[in-house]
Amino acid sequence: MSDTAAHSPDEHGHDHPPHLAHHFDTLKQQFEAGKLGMWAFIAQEILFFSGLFCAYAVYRFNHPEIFVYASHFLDTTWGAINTCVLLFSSLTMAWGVRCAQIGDRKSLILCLWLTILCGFGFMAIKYVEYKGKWEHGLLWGQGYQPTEEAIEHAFSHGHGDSHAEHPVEPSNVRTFFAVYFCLTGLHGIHVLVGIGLLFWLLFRAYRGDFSPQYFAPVDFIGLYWHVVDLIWIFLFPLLYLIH
Amino acid sequence: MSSITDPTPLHATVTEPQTGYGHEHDPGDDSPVGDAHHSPYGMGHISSWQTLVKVWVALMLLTILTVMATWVNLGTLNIWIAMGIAFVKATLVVLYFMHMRHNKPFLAYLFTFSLAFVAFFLGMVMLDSKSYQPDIERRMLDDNQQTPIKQVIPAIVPSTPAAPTKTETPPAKTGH
Repeated sequence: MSDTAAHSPDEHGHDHPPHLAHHFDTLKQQFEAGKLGMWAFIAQEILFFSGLFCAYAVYRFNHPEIFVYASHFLDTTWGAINTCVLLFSSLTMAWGVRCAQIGDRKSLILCLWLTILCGFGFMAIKYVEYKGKWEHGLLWGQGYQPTEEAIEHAFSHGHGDSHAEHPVEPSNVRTFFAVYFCLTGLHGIHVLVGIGLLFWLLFRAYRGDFSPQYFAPVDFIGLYWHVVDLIWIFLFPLLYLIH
Repeated sequence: MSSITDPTPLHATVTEPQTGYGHEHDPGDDSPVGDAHHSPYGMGHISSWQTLVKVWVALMLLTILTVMATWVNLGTLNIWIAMGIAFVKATLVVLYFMHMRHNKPFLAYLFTFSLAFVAFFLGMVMLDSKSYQPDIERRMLDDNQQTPIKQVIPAIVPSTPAAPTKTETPPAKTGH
C-alpha cells in the first residue's frame, strides 16, 4: 500500500519518504527530534503558567478572606462541566493520535472533529461565564463594581439558612478577579490556539498527509492539547472549589 | 466502525527498507511487523483504545471525587486534598494520554526538571511572602478599625540634611 507513496523522486535527484526533512536521516530520527522539541516547549509552558500560579498562591496565602468571599461569584457547575468537556477532548485527541498511528484516516478525522467540538464547547461556556461577570460588574481593578443583583445571586442563592446574609466584603476583592481573568484568559487563549492547530491538522488529514510512518504532527499537537487540559485540571479546584 | 477498535495489522512484511525509513526494532521485539502496540517503524507506542477509555473513566471519577471533597469542611486540609487529587489526574494524563509511560526516560527527566523549578519558584516566593505576614496583619487590623493611617513622610530639605520633620507638611524653609 505504501509502495506508490513510498518514495517521491523529485528535483533533488534522490528519493526519500515524503515529509522527511533533509536534515534528518530517518523518519524515526525526525520523530524523536520533534518529540524532544515539543516536550521542551511543554516544559516552558509549565514555567510560563507557573508565574500566574505563583501570583495566585501569594495572594491567597496572604488574603484568604478575599478568595473565600469572591468564590461565591463563581459557578462550580460550569467549572465542573468545563472540566469534563476538556477531559473528554483529551480522550478524543489521544484516540486520534492512535488512529493516525495505525493509519485509520476516517477515524482520525472523526476524533479531530470531536476534539474541536469540545474546544468550542469549552469556549462557549467560558463566554457564558465571562458575560455573566461583565453584566454583574465583576471585573478586575477599577472594573470591580458588583451590582446588587450579583451579590444577591452569589450569597443567598441556594442557601437555606435563615442567617444567610452576605458577609462583610473584605477590601481588594478586585484582586481575586485580576487573578481569575489572567489565569482563565491566558488559558482560554491557549485553547483558541489549540483549536486553530486542530483545524490545520484536520486539513492535513483530509489531504491524506498522515500515515503510520508519518503521524508526528498529530502526536505533537496532541501533546499541546493535553497540556491545555492539564492546566485546567489545576485551575478548576483552585478557582472553583474554594469554600 | 470496526476499524476504530480493532488493532489493524499492518503490512504482512516489511520489505527492504526504503531510504529514510530506517529499520529499527524495539529492543526485545523479534517480530518484523508491528502489532497492536508497537509501531513497525519504531516510532513509539500505540495505545489501545481500552487503555485510553479506562484512563478517561478514572479521570471523570476523580473529578467527581474532587467536587464531593468540597462538601466536607476540613479547613486548610481541603486545598491540599484538592491539589492531591489534581496531581493524580495530571499524572494519569501525562503517563497515558501523553505517552510518558512509554517515552524515553530523558523526556521524563526534562518534564520533572521543570516541575522541580516551579516548586522552587513557588516555595521561595511563599517563604519571602510569609515574612511580610506581620505587616499584612497590622494593615488588616487598621482596615477593620477603619482608622486612616497617617503617613509620616520626612520632607526632604536640601539645606539642612540633619533636620527631618515630623509633621505632615514640611516647614516652609526658604532660600538656597
